Amino acid sequence: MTNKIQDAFGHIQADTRLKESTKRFLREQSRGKFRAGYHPAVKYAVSAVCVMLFLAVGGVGYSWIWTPVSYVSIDVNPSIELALNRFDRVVSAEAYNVEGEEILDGLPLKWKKYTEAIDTVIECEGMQLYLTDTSQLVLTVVADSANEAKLTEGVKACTSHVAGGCHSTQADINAAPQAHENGISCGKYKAYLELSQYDSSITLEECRKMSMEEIWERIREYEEDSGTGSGDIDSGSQDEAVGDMSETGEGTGCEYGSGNGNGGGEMHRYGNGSSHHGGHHGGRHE
Amino acid sequence: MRSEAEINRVVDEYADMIKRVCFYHLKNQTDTEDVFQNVFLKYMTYEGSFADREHEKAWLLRVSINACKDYLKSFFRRNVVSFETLHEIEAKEPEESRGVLEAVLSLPVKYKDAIYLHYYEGYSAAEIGKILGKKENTVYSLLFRGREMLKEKLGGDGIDK
Repeated sequence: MTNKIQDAFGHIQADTRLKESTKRFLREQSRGKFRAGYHPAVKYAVSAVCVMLFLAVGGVGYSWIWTPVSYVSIDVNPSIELALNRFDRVVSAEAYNVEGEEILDGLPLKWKKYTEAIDTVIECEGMQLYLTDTSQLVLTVVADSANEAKLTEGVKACTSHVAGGCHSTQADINAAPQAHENGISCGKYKAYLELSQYDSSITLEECRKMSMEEIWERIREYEEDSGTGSGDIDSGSQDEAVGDMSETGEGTGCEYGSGNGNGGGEMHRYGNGSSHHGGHHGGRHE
Repeated sequence: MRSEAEINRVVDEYADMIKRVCFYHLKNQTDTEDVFQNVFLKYMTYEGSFADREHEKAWLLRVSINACKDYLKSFFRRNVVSFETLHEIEAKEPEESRGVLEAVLSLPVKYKDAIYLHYYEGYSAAEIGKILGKKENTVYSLLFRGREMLKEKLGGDGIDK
């Protein structure tokens, strides 16, 4: 049986032409691959390096895009803070009270340019309830020195058309973690520090519940009591006072808790010179 | 990727075997060459290693059989069939061998594989089972029925001398 099958199939052979054409075909298919002659280990190593590079680049990119490097606090009674990445885009928007949560609910802020995001917040329907003649809209830029001026300029542009009490100021980026740990926006934390200079009994919890208007009112009262002069406020209209704030609050480089430097804007707001706070402190301590 | 020398050795060593497998499946010169070259291409790009030459041969047989079956399933092949190779090769065969060849080629594929691997390549039923992915008993059954069918076609002792 075996012989019959072998006889039958034995004549079937691959001729030289078929073998040579196959070898030629395979050479063409492998052109370049033989020359490279990479060992599989080399290929795996190259692949691994590519993957690691991809992950590293992706990680750095992710960090660059998602890490907040500056903040803009928007405080009236609603207390909101926008976290901005290196490209001044909003990576997160945090509400620090119930009113803030109501404002942020459904507002599309993520990845917006900070100026657009501020416009969106200020112009939204919910915010209009809080922007009255007597309210204080305070925008606080919290950034390093390289970005502070640029961001402040953008904030000024956003608030230039806002009717009612509005001013912008700056705060030290290094104090931001402290504010956030205490569950309060940088803007309100700065106001708290300001007030606590006059009233050491004031607590963060109390400030958290107060509107910016109430905090500033308390500060103003202390200043008036100290006799350091709030003539402009007393004699002028709210709008005028606000106008002063708006003009002078910007770009004055406020520092948390600092003596003569803090509240440069407020100094002008209340119509006194650079000795305003220092004088006030002196009065209290005496 | 295997070296050029290694590929040339395999082509020289197994070309006849693969040509026979392609032939009894496809019976067509053009198709045979296509599948023939693709089998060696698969070998060239195969990243695994072989324990020995027997392992290598069995791998090539399994790949060849599967490649032929895949080719036969293709739309083009189902609709355009030429028998030029069959007639060309048969013309070279002695009278008696031609009859046996025609009888084997007329069997269903599963019987042809078993008959060829056992009677030409000399594999046992267990080895054929591994190559074809079938149980050993199934291979015995295929061989038995294949032999019976050949006996019917060829008369007498069939392929038994």
